Amino acid sequence: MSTKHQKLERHSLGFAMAILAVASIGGIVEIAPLFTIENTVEEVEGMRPYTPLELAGRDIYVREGCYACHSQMIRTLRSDVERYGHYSLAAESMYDHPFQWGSKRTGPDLARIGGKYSDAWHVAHLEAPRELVEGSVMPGYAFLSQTRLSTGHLPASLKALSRAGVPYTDAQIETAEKDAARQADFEQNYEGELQESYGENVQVRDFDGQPGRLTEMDALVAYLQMLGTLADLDSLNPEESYR
Amino acid sequence: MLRRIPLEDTAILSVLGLVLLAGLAILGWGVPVAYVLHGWLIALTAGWGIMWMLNRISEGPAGVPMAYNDKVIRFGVIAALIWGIIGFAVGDILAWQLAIPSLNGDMSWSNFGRLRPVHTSGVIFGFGGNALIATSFYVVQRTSRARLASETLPWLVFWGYNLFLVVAASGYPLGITQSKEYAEPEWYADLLLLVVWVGYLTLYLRTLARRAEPHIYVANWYYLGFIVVIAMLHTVNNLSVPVSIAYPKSYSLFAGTQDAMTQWWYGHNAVGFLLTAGFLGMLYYFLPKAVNRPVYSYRMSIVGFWGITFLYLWAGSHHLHYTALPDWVQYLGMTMSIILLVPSWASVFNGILTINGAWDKVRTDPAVRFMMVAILFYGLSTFEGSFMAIRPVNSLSHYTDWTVGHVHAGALGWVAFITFGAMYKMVPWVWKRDGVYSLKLEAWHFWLALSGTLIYVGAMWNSGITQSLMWQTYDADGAFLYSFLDSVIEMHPYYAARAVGGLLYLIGACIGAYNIYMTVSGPRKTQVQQTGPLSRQPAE
Amino acid sequence: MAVREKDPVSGTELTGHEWDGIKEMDTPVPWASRWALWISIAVSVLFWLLYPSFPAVTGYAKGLLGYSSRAEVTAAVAQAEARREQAFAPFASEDIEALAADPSLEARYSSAISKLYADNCAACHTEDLQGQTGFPNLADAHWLWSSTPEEIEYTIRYGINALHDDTRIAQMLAFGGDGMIEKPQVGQVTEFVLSLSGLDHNAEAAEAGSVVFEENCAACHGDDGRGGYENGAPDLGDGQWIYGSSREDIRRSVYYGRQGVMPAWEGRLSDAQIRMLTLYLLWNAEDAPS
Repeated sequence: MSTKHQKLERHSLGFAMAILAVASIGGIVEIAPLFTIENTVEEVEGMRPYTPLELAGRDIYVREGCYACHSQMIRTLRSDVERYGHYSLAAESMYDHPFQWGSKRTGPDLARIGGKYSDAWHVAHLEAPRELVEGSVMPGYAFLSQTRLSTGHLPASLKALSRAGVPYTDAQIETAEKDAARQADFEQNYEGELQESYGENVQVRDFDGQPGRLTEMDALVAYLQMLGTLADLDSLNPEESYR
Repeated sequence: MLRRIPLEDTAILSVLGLVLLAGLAILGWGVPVAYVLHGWLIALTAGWGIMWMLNRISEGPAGVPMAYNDKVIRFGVIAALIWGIIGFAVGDILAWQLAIPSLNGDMSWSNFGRLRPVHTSGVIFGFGGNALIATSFYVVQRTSRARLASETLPWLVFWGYNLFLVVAASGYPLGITQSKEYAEPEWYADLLLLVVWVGYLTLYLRTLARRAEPHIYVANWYYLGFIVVIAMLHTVNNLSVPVSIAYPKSYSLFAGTQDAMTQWWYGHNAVGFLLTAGFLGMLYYFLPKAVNRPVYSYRMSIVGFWGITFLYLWAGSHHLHYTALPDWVQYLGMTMSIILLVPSWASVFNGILTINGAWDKVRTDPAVRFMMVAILFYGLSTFEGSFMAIRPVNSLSHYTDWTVGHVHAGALGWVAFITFGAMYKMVPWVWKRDGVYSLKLEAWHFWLALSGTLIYVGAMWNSGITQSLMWQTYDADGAFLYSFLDSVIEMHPYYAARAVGGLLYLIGACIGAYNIYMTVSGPRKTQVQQTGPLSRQPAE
Repeated sequence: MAVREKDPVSGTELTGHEWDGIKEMDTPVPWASRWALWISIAVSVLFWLLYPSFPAVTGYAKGLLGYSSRAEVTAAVAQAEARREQAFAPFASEDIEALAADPSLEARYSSAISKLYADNCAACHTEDLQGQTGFPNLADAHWLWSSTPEEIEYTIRYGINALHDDTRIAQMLAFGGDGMIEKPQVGQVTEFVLSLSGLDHNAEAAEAGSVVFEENCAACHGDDGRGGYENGAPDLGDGQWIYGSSREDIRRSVYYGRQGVMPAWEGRLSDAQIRMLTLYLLWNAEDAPS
């Protein structure tokens, strides 16, 4: 072995190529088939691209680094399932560019947080978490309620996501900015339109308790209230999803 | 008549020109203020680089000295120390925030989530990366008996890399991140790093190509492994679709499960090839030099190197046990992680047994002590890593502070210890000083760092296992015995202890920086030692 | 082959290469290393045979055991569920009245249910059930939708103003904001509401406010302001305040209205768990029947 290796040691470029070849095998074997093996992402009803408001909320979730303390992944462990609900499906993060499974639970898992608490609780909790929950170590995000949501980039965001494979229609891209504001409309005047465009499971209301103002808090709460509510788990064939 | 400009200078000038244009585009079209500032920063740095290049070219070809190029190494050492202290300090602030949450300040830029990547990028890429660039330049020249292959590329690599770091670290508190752990910088910073990295690889290969030694030394295998594999990982994991030139934001090309697997393939191998391979390169040069002993076994070097290079890339999926990632990937990751222990420990034994015959130096030379303890922590954390990759163990350790403790056993105990050990050796060499300013301060640094690490890791083992057991403990009826909040409250003493451990480590590092500063500002060596024959042409 | 240089300390041969003074010994790979490698590979091969492992383009080796994490956790949860069904057998009964009347349950189950409460309810209503601004106190004797076990269970199951089709609806309109009453009237009715629980108020304004109250508020809160269980309108004279008792708090309620939301727990919690929590509230309420 060492004599052959001594030959390799004499060629810098060859050595570098050998490293690249040897190192690329693991990734090719483990990543490439995830795109081709069909049951990697399960078939389940209800999954849909995020609405512009939810997407804006997700961008805020990413920006604030929420994933550093909260997972969005209920593992196939009894203690995870019994505390947080049905184990997470791959399908449930199929539109997550990038994924938000997290790596640490300083706070609880959020994969199915949607609908667990009221909007008012989320707003009060995000504004002053340690006042609402004694013993919490979460930072406060009161500034979200004060910050007007910027929506100018949303059509471009949807467009970028559609380039990455999210099935947004041209109409959805075009009306993204309006749709964001309409989802948080206090009068809920556009519920029908939004549900027709995105799906029955779109929640339309004023999320931040400040009617007439579209804030970052609206977006983040809309996102949180959607988490885990999309996939219709009854439509899942459990045996087919065993993999 | 115009003089012919060398091809290399033309290439560098065109790259700098493109970077300048990119910076101008960002500052011109950019909407968010932080992004526009980044545009200015990039454009100004590239502009400055172009001026510097033009200046050099107009001055005409200067004779290349027949000596090693150590100036850029000195810059690398200083940068590593500055980033190290920033990174350690921010890390300790984060630790205190978890112990006393009001320290978050509840302002956007000061909250835990936004500061965390400043810490991780600061220590991994700022401290670790600069230390690797500096020591790799040192090692490749000495073990090849050749001067760095270019007079300009080393500076492009150094300044380009540090520009990337400034753009990255200043972006996080302002909310610019793509949220992929240890790959947080957005697309424009990623492209910048890619350019720098191509330069780094080219420089390294060209320097190796002009070596006067027939064989390439082990340290260079590892440095080369680090450079090549990081290039691959960085490129694939950062594939993304930018929203537009007007925004820093991008969306990763892959989604969900595939994205998760790609990210942890990257994340685990940032550990494997930046924090392991690169620093093993450091070990393989500075340890035998410091103890003046031959490397224990050339054959073990081969087993260790290729084992790590092949196996590490399979191990990433152990970060995703029991998740929505299909089982087959989990089992592949778990088994490969177990086999990975063998080449890892081959390096451990190769290191420890190299000290055989010179154990007195562990007692008398704090730098050797740093290196010896580094190997022990490397052995400990690679064993722990393989252990945690076993699925049932992982069901206990994952999502808890145990992982955080594990990472810091590796980062504080291995990466930073070997770096400090190497620096205490290299600083007097590159600045041509007789020795380190104070061995006593060096010993203080060692003991503070060691106690800080032990407190940190001990606290996290306790908190991690406590946390995990509290999440999984049921009463006799099968109902949870603790609420999630119970587990949060229970963490408080461990979080406080961790913050104290981190503080000790930070104080140690400050003493180290002071010691190095005093060494550098002290008198030059009285006798200049001959560094041995230097050849600019390959011997073969 | 030339005789190679040896390391004077260990006597091992050197490889003959040297870089900047660094030499290498040609020590063979120790047997322990080889063995460790072969054993770990053997263990891995065993895993690859038994469990899902190597992929191809459209499938992967399923492994001899036919193992699946998801099948395993489904079975584990079902088993735990069966055990809990036994342990918590009384709560399978739909007769919540009878359960509430059984004094033996509290001592046996209170501690286990307190953790269920802590993980699901405490975030709003606090761990000690005292509630906080916006989230009613559950430990006092005052109920918005009656203190009977069925009504409490109904509230937990379907929520208030929640997304469930059967949810309870309780909407206090934005009387000021929507112009149903004039701005001075908002002030007057605020004074009247303050007077109902004997708080410091302006008697003259309260007098005027009583008329406003009768015309606008009494339909839900009752002529005397003592509330009603039919529509979840709180008793305004009991000294208990969900949204605070300051003049400004009350004024805000009158002006902007209130639509407090309690999520529906059906689906997230099992029927037995909902009954457990119902009883937990009854046990801890001041007017507990037992």
